[in-house]
Amino acid sequence: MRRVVKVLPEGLDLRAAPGELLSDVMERAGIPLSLYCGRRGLCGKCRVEIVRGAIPEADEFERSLMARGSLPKNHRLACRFHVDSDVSVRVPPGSRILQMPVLSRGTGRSVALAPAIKKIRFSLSRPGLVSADSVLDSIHLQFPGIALRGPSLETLRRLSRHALVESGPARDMTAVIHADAELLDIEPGDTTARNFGLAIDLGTTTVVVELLDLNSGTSLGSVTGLNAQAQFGTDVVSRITAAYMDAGKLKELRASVVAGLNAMIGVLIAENQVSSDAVYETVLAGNTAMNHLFLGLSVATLAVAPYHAVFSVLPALPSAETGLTVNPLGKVYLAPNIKSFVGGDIAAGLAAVGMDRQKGNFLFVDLGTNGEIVIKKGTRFTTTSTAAGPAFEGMAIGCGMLALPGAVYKAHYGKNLMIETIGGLPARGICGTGLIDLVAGALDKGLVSSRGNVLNPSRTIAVTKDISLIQKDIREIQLAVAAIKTGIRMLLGENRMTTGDLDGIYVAGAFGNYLSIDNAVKLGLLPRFNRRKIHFVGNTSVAGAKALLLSLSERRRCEKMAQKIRHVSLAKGDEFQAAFVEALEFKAWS
Amino acid sequence: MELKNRLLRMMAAAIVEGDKETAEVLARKALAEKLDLHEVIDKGYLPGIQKVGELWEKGEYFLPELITSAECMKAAMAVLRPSLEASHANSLSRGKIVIGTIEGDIHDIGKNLVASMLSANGFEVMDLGADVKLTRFIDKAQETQAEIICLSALLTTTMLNQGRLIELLKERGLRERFKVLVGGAPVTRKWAADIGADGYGENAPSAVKLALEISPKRGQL
Repeated sequence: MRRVVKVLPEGLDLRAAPGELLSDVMERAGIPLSLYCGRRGLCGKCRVEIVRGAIPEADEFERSLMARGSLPKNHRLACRFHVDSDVSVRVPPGSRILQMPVLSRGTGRSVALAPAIKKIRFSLSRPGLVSADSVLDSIHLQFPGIALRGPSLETLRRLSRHALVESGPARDMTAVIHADAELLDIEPGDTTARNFGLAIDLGTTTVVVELLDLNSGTSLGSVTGLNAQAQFGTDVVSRITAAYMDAGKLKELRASVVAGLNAMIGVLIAENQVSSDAVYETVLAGNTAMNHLFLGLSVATLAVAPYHAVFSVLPALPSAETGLTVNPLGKVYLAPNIKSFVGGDIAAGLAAVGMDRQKGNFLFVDLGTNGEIVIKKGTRFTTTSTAAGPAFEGMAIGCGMLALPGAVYKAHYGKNLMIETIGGLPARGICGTGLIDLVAGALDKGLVSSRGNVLNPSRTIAVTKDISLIQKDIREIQLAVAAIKTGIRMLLGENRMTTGDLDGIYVAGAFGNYLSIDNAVKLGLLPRFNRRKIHFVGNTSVAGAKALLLSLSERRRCEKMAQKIRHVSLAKGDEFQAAFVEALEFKAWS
Repeated sequence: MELKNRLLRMMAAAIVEGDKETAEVLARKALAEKLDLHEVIDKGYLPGIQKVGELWEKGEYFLPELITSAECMKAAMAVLRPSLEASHANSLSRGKIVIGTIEGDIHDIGKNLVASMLSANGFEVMDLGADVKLTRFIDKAQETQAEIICLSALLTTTMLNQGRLIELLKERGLRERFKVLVGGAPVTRKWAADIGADGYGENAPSAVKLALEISPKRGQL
């Protein structure tokens, strides 16, 4: 006869077969119970309060937890509890898998906290006189069912130093396990509370490093800085060229980015008083070129057509080999490259947005130097990159600059020209969104023709006393806008779609935060589209790196997706030139 | 005389304005009036192309205008060509040019523009496309007895192949046989000099000027 399990606070009545494990019953019902140690009774995270019904005797695992004060008296572990009679249980918040929000703005997507790194406390007891099990074997016995790969030689050496037990009670040790499969490290004592990870967006121009607590899923802080490789060139191609022509330069490129990252990591762990040894996993999302240079791989294949990458999906790498100052026994995971120049930052971005979980057709465009575009049509994904160029980052523009304090980021032609600068400081240049505003405004006011000609006699558009836009600047913006517009149109065409078939547009890239949709549409950068269905999602690369750090299943899903996305090379078609040339005209479209 | 001068001025204007129909109509008129076709090209249409080049330099004309003007020129030439061929069998061409985007590179808009304008200016142009293997440039140039090889590259990485092509010509003992012109966004005058190219064109109009200057058949048309 079926037993009834009442679950509070939801008030659900679940049916269980006699003797069925409570954790199985709850899993069947979709209750997100944390099964951190994989039902081994070691972590205590699946504990529930028995509110009504028979409380069975505590088993050895439960007694062990009680002795440490980790299991209150009327609580039992759901993974050890067999439902023999009707029972009412309350699931405390701490026993639920947390849903972590992923994006700092936008779609409200969240992922279930289930990171690859798990720290599980166990007891290393004195070997019995009868059975002299090896230290490693006695540890493996505590984790039945997982084939533990590893440990590394370094871990084994540490273990051999800690394992000598002369007298006294069993010793607390903590196993650090990666992806439920590999024993990375054994730490003396109970270090389960100190479990941290890093999420990194390795951008061509800007790098963001975020420190996360892998137990709570919360962010402890982030640091943003410029990519130190800029000295070798501001764009991907210059850096690839430098590395391609000179193996010594490749080493330098790698060294500079690793040093830059380590400096940023150093700041974060110092600020939060975390030891670098407590950081066991780093997830890094970068474009293909950045990934290759970070690992010190030759970029010869990226330098010439067909511009293919050396790798797409990689298993997590030993931290020690990457040069990052984190626990050397830990892992570094790179978000998978999709194809060619469309890299891990886009794969991570798609994971952050969760586009594959939505029904319908969507466009995802990253407004940056590489202008990557992804279209989801039903279950099929296509992507391309458009080499929009640095104009959107304020480069190649006379008075252009990055979006830093003092940059004109908003502009409007009323009776006079009104501008706003970042930080409210005196204007010292114009950044991407400011450029869009100025050109669209100038177009409206007849200062610039739709063909990009600056019409006034001075052939310049004055912004402030010292800052103006010249004809050449307008041409650069035409080229950048045309690249994105052509990319979007051709990818739509490739899928036999029009903008009318889209259920939404995701605009990623820090640029998107302040972009005026009206002005972007006027110039043709974005198509005319239902305002409410355009979602600005900010830096999806770091959000995606976070999602992949916090959830192993998101990682697997991301890898599958990266491998099935179809890449289209815009240059292949004959229509590219005609479409690109036509797109040079500033014109709204849909 | 007056009619001829008026027509010549209108031909130049048609090119500058990118008016394909008018360019064609004027070409047919030139044929009907039995005007000297070489004069029609040299003093009518070509000045239009030159003016377009100047407007490009000034920043007033951009890619679309260059392409449209080249199309106009091509259209006018298409009308005139049969008669040109009939009257002067082999001096039609100012020379033969093999052009392409260098091996490893797929960018071709700039190269297409140069090819269009060279053809519009009376050269016989063999456009090999993009990602063209070095050996293919040389083989085609030999096969067609071209005078000039034009190499376009848009990346600093693929630009290196321009140098390699010149080395390859030397290895085969063919360096003196062809003039090699290079161009493309990252290419500079210094680079052209470093690799021993015969010339460097910053954009399509200057490429045409350069080709005209070094063409061995200059003045023969």
